[in-house]
Amino acid sequence: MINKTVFKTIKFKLAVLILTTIIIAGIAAPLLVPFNPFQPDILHRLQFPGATHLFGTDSLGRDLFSRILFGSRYTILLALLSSLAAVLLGTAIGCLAGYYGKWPDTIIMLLSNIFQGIPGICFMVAIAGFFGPGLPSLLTALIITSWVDFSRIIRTETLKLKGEPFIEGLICIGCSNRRIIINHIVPNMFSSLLILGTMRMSRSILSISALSFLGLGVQPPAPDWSVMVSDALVYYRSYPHLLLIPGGCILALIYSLNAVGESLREAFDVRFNEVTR
Amino acid sequence: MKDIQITSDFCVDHLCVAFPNSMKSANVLSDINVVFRHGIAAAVIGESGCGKSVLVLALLGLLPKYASVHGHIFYNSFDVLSVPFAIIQSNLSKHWGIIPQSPSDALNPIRKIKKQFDDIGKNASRGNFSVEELCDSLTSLGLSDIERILQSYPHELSGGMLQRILFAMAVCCEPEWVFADEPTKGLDEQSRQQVSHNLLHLKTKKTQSMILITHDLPLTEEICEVVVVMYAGEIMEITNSVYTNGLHPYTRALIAALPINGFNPIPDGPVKNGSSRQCRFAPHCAYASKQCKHSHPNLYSVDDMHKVRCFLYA
Amino acid sequence: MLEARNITKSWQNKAGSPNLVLDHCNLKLKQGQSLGLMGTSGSGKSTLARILLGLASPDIGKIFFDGQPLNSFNRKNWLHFRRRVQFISQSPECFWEPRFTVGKSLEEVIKIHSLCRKDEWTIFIDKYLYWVKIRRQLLSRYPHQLSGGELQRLSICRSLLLEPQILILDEPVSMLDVSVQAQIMQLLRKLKTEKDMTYLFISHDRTILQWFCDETLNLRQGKLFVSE
Repeated sequence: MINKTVFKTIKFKLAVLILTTIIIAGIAAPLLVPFNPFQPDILHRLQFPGATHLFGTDSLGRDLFSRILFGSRYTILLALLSSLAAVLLGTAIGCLAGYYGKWPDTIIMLLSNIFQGIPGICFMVAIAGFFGPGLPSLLTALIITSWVDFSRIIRTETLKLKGEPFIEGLICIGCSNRRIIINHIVPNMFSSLLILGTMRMSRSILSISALSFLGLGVQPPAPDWSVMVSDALVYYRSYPHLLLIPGGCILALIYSLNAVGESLREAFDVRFNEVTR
Repeated sequence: MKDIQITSDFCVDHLCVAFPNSMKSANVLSDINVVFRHGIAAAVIGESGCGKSVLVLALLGLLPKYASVHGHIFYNSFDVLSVPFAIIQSNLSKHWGIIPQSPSDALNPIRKIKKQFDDIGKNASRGNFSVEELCDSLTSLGLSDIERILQSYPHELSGGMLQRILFAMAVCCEPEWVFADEPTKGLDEQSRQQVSHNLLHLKTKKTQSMILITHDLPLTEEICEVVVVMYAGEIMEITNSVYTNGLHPYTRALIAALPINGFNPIPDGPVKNGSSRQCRFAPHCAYASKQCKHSHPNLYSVDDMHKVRCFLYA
Repeated sequence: MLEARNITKSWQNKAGSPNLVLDHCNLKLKQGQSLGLMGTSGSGKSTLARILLGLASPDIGKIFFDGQPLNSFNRKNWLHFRRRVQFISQSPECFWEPRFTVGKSLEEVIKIHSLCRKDEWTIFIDKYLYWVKIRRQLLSRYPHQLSGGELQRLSICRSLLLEPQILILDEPVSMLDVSVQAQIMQLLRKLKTEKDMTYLFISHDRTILQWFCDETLNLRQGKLFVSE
């Protein structure tokens, strides 16, 4: 059913390795950290990577390694929450529009056209500015800007599935609309949802980073990776590790999420081809 | 085969195909020996799952890589099964024209018909077709207003027109062989007659050599000189006509199952695939004797063109 | 029982002018009757079937079931209608939820109509599997692992679970092999005599309709004609 050869490629294995490392690091952070990530230590500020401080220290003397470990919690949790919410919202709205058609479809499509017309990052900055910086407004901004893409894709998928004879067959045996949507339409889109979700996560991380970098997202002293990048701006000429290490972490996370998403798509595409042939 | 001649015949020699991934890795085709002679229209009939499509895929060198294949198929000086696919593409493909099953799915929806003809010409390293050439071949298939058709996209034309265009495409490079996959499946009476008329036209005017995969028995009667009856991966009978000259119990059961003969179904029985100890049709056979259950019949020759795999004719 | 009055349906074609598919069609299915509906492909016979089943709505006209118009139905009426009127499609491969085993799809029917208790499911289904001569082991397979004939017999089985009065068959055998066609047709005939089923049999094949139906209607250019 699923093309399993995709899961044997180096790309996929590497991505999964990075992802699990980051997740485990995030979960076990309190056990692993050698220093308190929030405790400044002015005497040992701006140290290069060495034996005691694995990744060196930042401008306030906080241990970079500990901050990176704790930072993965923020980054992944935020990305997961925002993309999960976007997927749920987008799926619900897309299914309604696609399945019922007529006026719900018209209204939803009108709304999503309006939302899509607004450039994403500006909108996010506006919302974050309006509600004031902080986690709730960051999440709201992310969800409001990302459900649109989802609902469009899900709507087309729903329309396609709705035309399938097996859905008509289900109507003929008396299946209710709600049951058809929940038991038959959504599960049949599961593979696309999984793929879209992983792709969405990597994009949310970039948006979070951008906002945090601008000072509108996660607030210091929280050890978010993008906050660390923005902190390093003043010092990166003489102390490039302050910029490169958190930046590299973001890069690795995005790469692995994209690679997993892509592999999943390849794996499920083949199944689709086989069934249709 | 005793002597391998360099001809445009398809000589299938001890062909066995198995798909190791399928649920029980039974042979899809077991020990197929048959010669499709150039200049003769042949039909392969049998129920779905009997391996008739796999046989034709093998003839065209299109079997998937994971299939385990034994035996040979000789065509010209090539063994289709062992030659690399690139060579088949460059040397042999232009000898073969294929008429696909559903006309609406077979054409590129965003390319004009004329362009699609030219694509075929290019692949056969023949260059573009002139409009006159195409006019000739399309009018002979009963189409009019050719200029407009050539400048249309597939969705602007009806199913019947598309079917005729595909017939024209299959023969536009003067192939040695034409393959058609279930050309009449699911069609109503009128369209069916059109298709059979078109096939007959191809046969008399263009390419005599044809292989039809079908379960439309009347069609084989109208068009084909040779009918190969397959059942459960084996050739059961090779005859010139299933109606007048069908001897195998399976062939006769198929005829009895036709609507005009009152839908007499083939009796149910345990389906046994792959065990070569018995005749594969024996569980369903009205004439099965003890011998049929314990030993496997060979293809016995009744006369030159007629072979039957049944002990009744041993 | 099932009656179509004045059904008219047209499709908007590319040029914008309406293309009349069904033109004031009247049709009445009586208890125990086998009515044939003949027409070439694209003549609108499938559209008529879908309208009769309430899957599409006509532009003009109404469908009546036991004297009640379909468009006045509430959820309870619909459920009752779905139990009484069942549908078999022409492509059995597409008629089954691809993610479910066929057994699970059959159980779905029982669940929706709560036909019996959960511990009786197996016995309940077995009773109907016997009719269509399908072995129990096949129920654990997925639709793409079964042949067209097996799936079509299972489709009939799925309909039978509800003990319907009317079966609407849309070209049930046109995509099947000769030998399988014969099996299905014999099965349908057996059901007709033993379960007193009412049929609307849609086909393009005159011989099949002559063999199966008491009366045949001919759909030509959107109009229904009685043919002998």
